[in-house]
Amino acid sequence: MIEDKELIERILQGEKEAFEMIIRKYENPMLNYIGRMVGERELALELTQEVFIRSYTSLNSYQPQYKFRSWLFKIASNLVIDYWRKKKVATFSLNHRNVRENQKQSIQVADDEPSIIQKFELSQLRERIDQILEKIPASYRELFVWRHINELSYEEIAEIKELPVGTIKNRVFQTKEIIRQLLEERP
Amino acid sequence: MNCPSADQIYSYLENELTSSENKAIEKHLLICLKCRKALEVRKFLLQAIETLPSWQVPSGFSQQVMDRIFPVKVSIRGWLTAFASGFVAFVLGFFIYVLATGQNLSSLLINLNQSLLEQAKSISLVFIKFFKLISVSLKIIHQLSGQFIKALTLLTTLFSPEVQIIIIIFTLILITFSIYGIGRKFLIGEKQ
Repeated sequence: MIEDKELIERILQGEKEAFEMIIRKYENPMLNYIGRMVGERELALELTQEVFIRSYTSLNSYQPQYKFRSWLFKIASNLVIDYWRKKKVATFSLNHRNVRENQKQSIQVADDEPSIIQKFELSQLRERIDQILEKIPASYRELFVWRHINELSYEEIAEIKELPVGTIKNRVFQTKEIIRQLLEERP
Repeated sequence: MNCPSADQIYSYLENELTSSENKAIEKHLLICLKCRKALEVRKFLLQAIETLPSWQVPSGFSQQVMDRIFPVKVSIRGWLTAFASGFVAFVLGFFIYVLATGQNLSSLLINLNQSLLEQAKSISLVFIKFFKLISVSLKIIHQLSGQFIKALTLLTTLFSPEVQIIIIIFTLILITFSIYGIGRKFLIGEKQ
């Protein structure tokens, strides 16, 4: 597969087909991110299109020292935030009891921790996780989706959000623990 | 080593720890049932998370985006190419027709020329008639407007301003009713 760097150079030289290759490479990862952030398929498709249009129009501002996909996801993240602001959706509030901003202390394993292994089949568990994800505060869900669905490294996520790697790791761990606890709580 | 925290367990499962940290956790797991259970649960959770159903774009999605970025524009060059292609096709078709029918090319060209001339004549006659009609209409409008101005001038010299206003209002009412009457007549005519 052709590297992003080479494709970008070809686009900047006027080769339109190179941009179509970029779209084909990132269309599904982008839809998976936006889809899990906004929840509606049609809206997610529209916003995904918008991300590619914005990225093409602002390609001259892309700095090659950063990873292209980080830059692309940053555009997507800003677009999703803009969309919520316009719709006045307060999805970035940290409303879960277990989520504490800048929490530094480690989460300890409880002695009587119930197990989700006996409770769910793998397919059931996936279904439940997708349902629970919708209830996770967006600022945490975003990091979780990037890490575990888009398979971005913690360093890439830190680059996108301009936050320390430790903070990103901590938030992703907290999100997983919230999901696990919610899975245990539900009948 | 004490029991690892949940985030250390996640880091261990995601290969985010150093080899010495990994070894320390593995050593602890051998002696701690609680941590082994905690590890299994999180492993199961990660397995489910990493195999969550994927959202797929519909086919032709990339083309849709490309069409929005680069809307199709037909350039002058494109139009010229189309015109030239059409002309070449016509000439070729004409020669094929001559060859297929075995007609004399010069007589065919003369016939074609004559028929084109006839068409041009008839079209030009229509144009001449149309322009004549317009010029006559303009002359009539010009004469009528002259008469109207003369009548207005006479009106101002013969009658006092009050009478002039009454005459103007009366004339306007008369015109309005006339137009309304003509309209009605046409409408009635349509209904019949």
